[in-house]
Order: sequence, then C-alpha cells, then structure tokens
Amino acid sequence: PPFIPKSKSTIVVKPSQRGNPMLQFIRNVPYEYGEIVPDFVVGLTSCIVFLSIRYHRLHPEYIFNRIAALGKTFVLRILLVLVDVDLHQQAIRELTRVAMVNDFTIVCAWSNEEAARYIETFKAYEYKAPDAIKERVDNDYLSKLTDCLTQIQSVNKTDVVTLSSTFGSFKNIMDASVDELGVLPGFGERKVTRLLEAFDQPFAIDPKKRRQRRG
Amino acid sequence: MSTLPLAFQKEIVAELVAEDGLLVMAKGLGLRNILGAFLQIYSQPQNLVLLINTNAEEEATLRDDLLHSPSVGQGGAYFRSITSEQSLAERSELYRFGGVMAITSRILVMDLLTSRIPVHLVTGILVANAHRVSATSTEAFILRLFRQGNSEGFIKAFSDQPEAFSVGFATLEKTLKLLYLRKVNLWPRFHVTVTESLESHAADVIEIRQPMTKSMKTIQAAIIDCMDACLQELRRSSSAIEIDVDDFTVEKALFKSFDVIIRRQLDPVWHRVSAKTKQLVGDLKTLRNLLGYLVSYDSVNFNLYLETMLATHNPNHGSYWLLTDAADKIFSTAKSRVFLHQAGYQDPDDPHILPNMRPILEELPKWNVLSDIMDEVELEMHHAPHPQGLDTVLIMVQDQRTCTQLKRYFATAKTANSTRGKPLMKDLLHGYLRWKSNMKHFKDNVVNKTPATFSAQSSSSGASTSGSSRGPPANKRRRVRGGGNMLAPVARHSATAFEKEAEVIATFIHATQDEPESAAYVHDHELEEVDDFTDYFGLVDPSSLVVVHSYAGESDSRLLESIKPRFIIMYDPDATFVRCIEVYKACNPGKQVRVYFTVYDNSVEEQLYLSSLRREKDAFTKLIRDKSNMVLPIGDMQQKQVQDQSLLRNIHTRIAGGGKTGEDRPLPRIVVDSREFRSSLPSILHSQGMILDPCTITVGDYVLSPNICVERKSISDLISSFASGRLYTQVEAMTVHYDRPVLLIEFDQDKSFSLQDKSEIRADISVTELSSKLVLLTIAFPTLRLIWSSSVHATVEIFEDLKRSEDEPDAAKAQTVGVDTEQEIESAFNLTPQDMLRSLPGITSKNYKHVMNNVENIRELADMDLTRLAGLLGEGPAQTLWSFLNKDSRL
Repeated sequence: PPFIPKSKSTIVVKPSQRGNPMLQFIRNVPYEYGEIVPDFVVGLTSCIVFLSIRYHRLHPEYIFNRIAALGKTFVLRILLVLVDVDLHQQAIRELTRVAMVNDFTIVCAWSNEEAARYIETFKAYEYKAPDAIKERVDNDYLSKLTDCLTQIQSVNKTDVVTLSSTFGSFKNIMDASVDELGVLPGFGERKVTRLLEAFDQPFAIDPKKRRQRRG
Repeated sequence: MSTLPLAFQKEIVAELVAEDGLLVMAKGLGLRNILGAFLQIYSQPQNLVLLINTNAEEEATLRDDLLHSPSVGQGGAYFRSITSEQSLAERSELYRFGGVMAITSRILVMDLLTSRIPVHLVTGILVANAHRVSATSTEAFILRLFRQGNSEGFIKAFSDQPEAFSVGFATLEKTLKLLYLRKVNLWPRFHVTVTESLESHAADVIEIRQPMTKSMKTIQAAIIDCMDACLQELRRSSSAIEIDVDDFTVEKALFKSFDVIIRRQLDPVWHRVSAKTKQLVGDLKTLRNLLGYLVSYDSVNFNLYLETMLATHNPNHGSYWLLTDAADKIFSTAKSRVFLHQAGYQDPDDPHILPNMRPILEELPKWNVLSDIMDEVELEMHHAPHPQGLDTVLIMVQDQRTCTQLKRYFATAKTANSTRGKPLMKDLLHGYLRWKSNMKHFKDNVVNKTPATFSAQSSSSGASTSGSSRGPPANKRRRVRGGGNMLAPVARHSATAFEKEAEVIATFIHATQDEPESAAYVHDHELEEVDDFTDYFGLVDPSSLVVVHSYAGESDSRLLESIKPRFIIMYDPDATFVRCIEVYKACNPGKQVRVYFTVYDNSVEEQLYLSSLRREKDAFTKLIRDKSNMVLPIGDMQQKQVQDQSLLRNIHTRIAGGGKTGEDRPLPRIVVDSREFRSSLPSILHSQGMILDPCTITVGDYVLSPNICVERKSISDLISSFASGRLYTQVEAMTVHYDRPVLLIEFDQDKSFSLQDKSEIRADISVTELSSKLVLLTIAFPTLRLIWSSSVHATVEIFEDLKRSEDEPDAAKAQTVGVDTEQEIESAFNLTPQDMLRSLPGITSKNYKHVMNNVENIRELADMDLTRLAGLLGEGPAQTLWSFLNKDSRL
C-alpha cells in the first residue's frame, strides 16, 4: 500500500537513507521517513533514487535491483548521481545508458549540499509553473535594447548606452552613417561594420527565396 | 611568378612549390603576394584547388590582385568564392568548372561529407591563416576528410603569426600533424636572404619623439596604478582557486595577449570564479583600452568616454578600480584637459559655452608635430620639386577614427593667433555639451524608470520623472535637480555628481536652442568634413596630394605601390608597415622616399611597439629551435586510427578473446544540424567512425535514431538559453516530435566537470539558480532525458552507446520535423539578425519565422509603419514593437 505522508508539503524519505550525510543539508523543506520504494518521494508522481558513484563502483548490481523494484511507477523518475570520485566518465556513461533504457532522468550533483538542494527544489517546485524559464514578454526599455544590440558580437552594455544617448531611438541608431558611428567613443571600425551588417544582413540566406519575395 | 620582385619572395615560393609545407613568415614581408603567386599558378580550369580559412575581405583583395596581374589576363575567372549564398546546384556546377575556390569551411565540410565535391579530383588545398587551425577546428576536419579520400593532392599552409605557434606546449608540432605536413619553412625578418634584399636600399627615416603633456602623463600613470591595483586584487581573490599568479604583472597586462593568458589560467574554473574576479578581468581590459585611447582620442572625446563609463557603472556591482584615488585622478585630470570651473567666467567669443566654464581644450601634442612636418614637407617641395610633380604625402594612422580626426584637423586653416586645432576643439566641445544634455534626457527617460539599477535615486525624483511625460520640461527639471543636490555628497565621482552637471548643461542647451541655426550650423560643419577620402588640404602645392590612411596589414604594400608617396608620415607606430616600406623601397630602388616616424616619448605606445618587435623575434627563435628537435610520425596516423576503430566495433566485448560478432555491422549514422558544424563535436564523431548526415533540422541538433533527438548545450549556452527562454521552446518542440528528447549538457574538456562550487550554494532555494531552472525544466517535461558529459569525447562514447540498440535515423524525415511547409526545409537563416529579431519585444517564438519569411532584414522591419506591422504581426504585438523601435530616449 502506498505510504501517505502527514502533510502534502513534506519529502518522504526511505528509512534506509537514515545516516546519509546528505540529509543534514535538507533544510528548506521538511521531510519524514516512510516505507516507500524509491529513496525520496518529492511529489505525487515524482521520485528520486540516490546513488553515489563511489558506492556504485563497489556494488554495481545495486542500482539495477532498485530500478527493477520500482517497476513502472511514477512519472518523473530522477536518478540523482553524486559525483564523488575523480574518474567518473565510465560510470556516468554506464548510468546514462541505464537511465535511458529505464526512463530515468539523470541529475548530477558534486557535493552533498548540491544533492540536497536538488531534492529540496524538486519538492518546493512541485506545483510551480515554469514561467521563470519560458520566453518572457515584458521588460524595461534599456534592458530590452541591451538584450537586442548585444546579440551583435563585440557590442557591450556601455556601447548600447552610448548609442542610445547619442541617437535616441533604435530607428535613429539604425539610420546613423558609418562616420557618425565611427566617431563614437569606444567604436572601432570592426564594431561599426558589425553593427551595420547586423541591420542589413538578410534574414534568409537563400538568395533565390529572397528574389521570389520581391518579385 | 614574375610579379614577385624580390629574391627572397621568389625563393619562398620555389621552396613551397617543390615540397608541401607550412610557411611561417614575418608580418609585412608580403605573405599576400606569396599566396597570390600560388593562386596564379593554380587558377587554371584543369586544376581544382581549394583555398580555406580566408575571410571575404581577404578573398576580395586576392581576387583584385589576380585580376591586375599581367601574366594571368582573364585567369581571374578561375578564382571563385563559395559561401552559403550559393545553392547546392550552383556549387556542384562550380566544382566541375575547376580553378581555385575559396570556400567557407562549414560549407566545404558538408559538401565533403555528402560527396558533393569530387574529392578524388581535388588537386590540392591551400590553408590560409594556418595559426588558427586547432585540433577541434573545422579546417582540421576538412583536411582529414580530404586525406581520407585523396592521398595524392597537395596541402600547403600559410601564416604570418609566428607568435601563435610559440605559445603552449608543442604547438608547432601539433599544428603540423593536423595539417598533415612534415615540413615548416620559417622566414623571419632576420633571415639572411631577407636582410640582404631589404637592407641594400634603406629608406631615409626621421624619428620624432614627442613628449606627452603633463596631464597625459598624469593620466597614464594613474591608469597604470589602477591596473596594478586590479592585479593585486586579482592575485588576492584568486589565491583561493589555486592558480599561478606569476603571470599577473602590469607589464604583461599591457598586452592583449594577457587576456589569453589569464583566460587559460581561469578557464578550467571559470564558471566557479567569483563575479568579483570576472569583473577584475574585465576591468583590466577596459583600462588597457583607456591607455590606447589616451593617445589616440582627443581630450574632449576621451573625457566623454570616461563619463559614459561612469554613467553606465552600476554602484552595486561596481568596478573595484573606480573606487581608488588613482581613478579619481584619471577622471579629474581628463576633465581638466577639457574645461575648468571658474566662477564668473564667460567665454568672450562663444555664447554657446556655459557660464562659469573655462574651456582649456588641450590638443594632442602629435597634432603640432604633424603640423611642423607638413611645413617642412612644403618647404622641401618648394625648393626641390619632384621632376614629374609626384609629391604625394601619405599619412598613416592606426584607425579610421584617427583618420577622420586628422582630416578635420587639416580642414581648418592655420591663423596667426591660434593653432589649427583650436576651432576643431571648439567644435568637439559643442558636441560634448549637446551629448551631455542628451545624456540627461536619456537618464530621465530610460534609466531612472528602473529603480533597481540606480539605487542612489531618491523616490521623490523618481516620482517626478515618471509622472506625465508631456508636461513642460523646464520646471520639472528644476525639481529633479533639487533632489539631486541633496544626494550630492554620496561619492566623489559618483553618478550623482555626473547627473547634476548634465542637468545644468541640459537646462543651458535648452535655453540657447531658441536660436535653432546654432545647432544646425555645427552639425552641417561636421558632415562636410568627413565625406572625402583624399581631401586637398590647401597646405601644399595643388599638384600633390595628401592621403590619410589607416593601417591595414599586408594590404598596405598595395597602397604604397599605387600611391607612390614621396613622403610618408607614420603618425602611429606600426611594425608591419615599417616592413611594407622596406619591401616597397627594395622593389623601387630608384624612388626617393622620406619617412617620418612619430612616437610619444616614454609612453605605453612606444613600449608596445618595441616589445611587439621583440616578441616576434623571440617567437621565431623558439620556432627555429622547435623545428630542429620536433618528432613527427611517418605516414598517415589518423587513417589507421579509423580502421582500428571499426575493427573494435565489430568485436564483441562480452565474448572472451574478443570474438567477432559475425556480420560486419554498417557504420552508425547520425543526422547533424548544419549549424552544429561550428562546434567540434561533428569532427570528433566522424573521427570515431560515424557517418554524418549534415542537413538543416528545425528540432534538435543531433538525431541519433527515429526516437532519439538531442539538443546540445555547453554550460554558457545553457545559462543563456535558460535566460532567454529559448531552451524551454526547444525542449517543447523535441517533446512533441520525439519519444526520447535528450538535453545534452556538455562541459568543456579543459574545464572542471561541475556545475557549481559548494561555497556558492545559497542558504535558500532561489529561482535564479541554474539548478532550480533545471528542476523546473525536468518537472515540466518528465520525458526529457539529461546527458551529463564531461567532454566532447565522453559525448561521442555516450552517443555510441545510445545508438547501439536503436534503428538508424532518416535524414529526410528529420528535416521535415517541426516544419510547416515543404519549402522551409531549403531555407536557412543568418544567425545574428535572427537572434536580434527574437530579442525584440512583440516578437515571439510563434511569429519570428513568419517575420523572417516576409521581411528582408532588420532595417526593413524597423522602417515599416504601424499599419504594415499590424498586417504582419497583429495589432497588439505590432504596437509593442513599433513603439520600442521608435521610442526616443532623449525626448
């Protein structure tokens, strides 16, 4: 029977994890022990299996048993790998393959603190909408302008302010001549060329297509 | 070959024609001519020679040379450039046509992989800029593909950057291996044949050492103090992360190469070094630039640049050096070169200058030197005119800016009571005042609306500016000024003081602008002076000419040949040009040439010039030593490796003794997005015996099987694409179209394999952390798999593993994924304009493709009126975009 935690906002920890030094760093989210199959349950449908590479090298069969025990349960299945040895490449390669076959997502951590942070975050963000990583719409003018113009190689924040304070609008910057740009402090020939090239370079590379559109 | 006049150049070509090799020669000795000679030899239809690693500019000059060389005639037609502009069919046609092709590396790799180019018919490859070839570069990949399909063709490589081969461990040896070459030809300036050729006809050189003004010396010393302070701070803060601090000296920091040194040291831990250390590294670069600007910018613009820096500096994450006394000295001295505050002073001649402002307008000392030289030249011409009236004076400067500056300087006539620079400096001062007033509006309108960046602003001033935007400006300004005054004593040269001054100027300009012609007059004046390339300055005899030109490396020799100057003034020192003069003089022994060489005495400029010569010499000495004790393998190493690989793949590791699996498995295939050919992964995948199918795919970067699609991100890409939200969109698309979407997080081989340092983990969970974003991503897409790869090589192994039990991918199918229409498959887009477009407000991942398909470029988009934009994007987004593009930060 599935274990029901006392509160919806606690992480459930498998009792066998007792003594894992990582647990002491779980501070931002409460946790309780309970009889569960994975090591941590961090949401209704998400779980974490914890594995230290050092342990994996001593007991390579361990992880297979754990995965087999888990079967097909849980939607988001995290294999939290603690990279605690220097020669990690072979182990990570192996685990990547195992994870891929068994529908696990690998997350690597390099310290107990970091691993604990991942566990906390998974629980804390269980219901959080992914707005923070989606494309954003609104922003203030200067940072938008900076965002756009610094896409051009070698143009930096100071240059954006120089441009904006000299010419005013984006459109005026675009209409500025080579000479007007060239005398701005901090602008060398290359920067001016790159700036103008970015304005004038066609979006579409294929010339045939461009001809079509105009015709 | 007859176009090569000098004995050593002929010898270089003969040597390289006889045997394949890497040619490294000193700058300015005519590498371009040598390369041109090879183009002449091979630009015949019976050859198919590929020229790689050149840029469009270099190709244009080479083509120009070829067209003008008498021995070739129409041969220029057999030298073509191939870029992404040509379609597949056009490219295939050109390959059949023969001759020399200059090809963009990324295109060539794809054509080689898809066998569009008949590799067995290629006569040979010429590699320009060989110093830029590295183990992971596309050029190395090209040469490997070439050697696999063609063991007969020649490879000849060229470089004039000996320094590049002398840094690092066995760089020359490694490069030679990549180039499949066994021989290196070194031609330093001190080579006997070169010296003999050049020194028999030395030019008449006059060296002028001009001391800097007192205030310039003060600034130079103060900048160096600041650099020293930064370096000390850097040493202190980096001792924690175990790096060698011996390299951190002011002397080394003066050179651009210092950035490379420091990055090489910090790179392995770069994502873990503190923001402070990164800031210090950036500051050192800024300070080094300032040293250059000190001698090249006029005093007004130098001060203006400093003020812009101050204005953009963020008091919360400020640069360390700005807080030092030396920085204070830089700012105050730079300003005192322009004007002084003097109560009650009003400029008698110029009503546009503010009251209480006494213009100082220090001129650059070299201007006077130049003026004196021109007088001398004039005298000379008068007394001993050139028989054919060819008295051209060539003034060489470091960049276009100095060019413009000097043209403006000469455009003003010299009068009895003032120097030539005076009116120019006045003009510049007016420009400065106008800029300062703009700056004030800019700050009010743009910066102060985001209180986070300017915490010094009190809430009262914020409220007054963000109120109604159309109110009468005069009284509003007064109110802001009041607020500013209260905050004035916060810092000595803080942004507040700057704003206060801008405030006063803005008010003044506003008051004087009632006579509109004043501003217009100054503006016209500026335009007039910068329009012509070879102005006549009214100084010397009209039959002669004064040409101001900026250094352009090897192309300068062409300039000398075409202008044939009698007098050359080297306004800024440049080692390459000195060599160009030597070569020119040696080619034209009868010509009279006098060279003036001006340099600031005891300046960083002088030091840089001298040590650039020394460094080149040291580099050659090291290369000559390396050449004598280099170890090179015989035969074709790389090809053998690939065979070994395929053998290994067919051996089953589970069977003791490595029994063969029976049938020969076909080589594994991977579909690769053509954009990925900028990175080194395709090259390494190929070297491990995978077959690559290059094509343009919309979803993902690599398709391993019909189910597995991989988006590859380096750490810096990961951070930036999380910030822009692009990663979310990319993963979303992969999830829709593939059963197993994979995000590959690839660390750099030379860098440490970890995301964040223990000490950087904060006490609480924050959404700004990379780890939090990763968590959000995996929660949003539970089917997304992550691959953590410590290096490109680890990635290759993991890819091999993942493919083992899967079917081969289908390139044609991968191309159609995520594409709406058939024709979209064929089109590719330029990256920079695309990225700019995507960062504009009103443009989303949903509509940007539509815009790119219907608009030519950013310029056309910005020129559209609101109705046309609305037709393209719809009302709302069109309004957002239009007002962003047309918002004037000064109004």
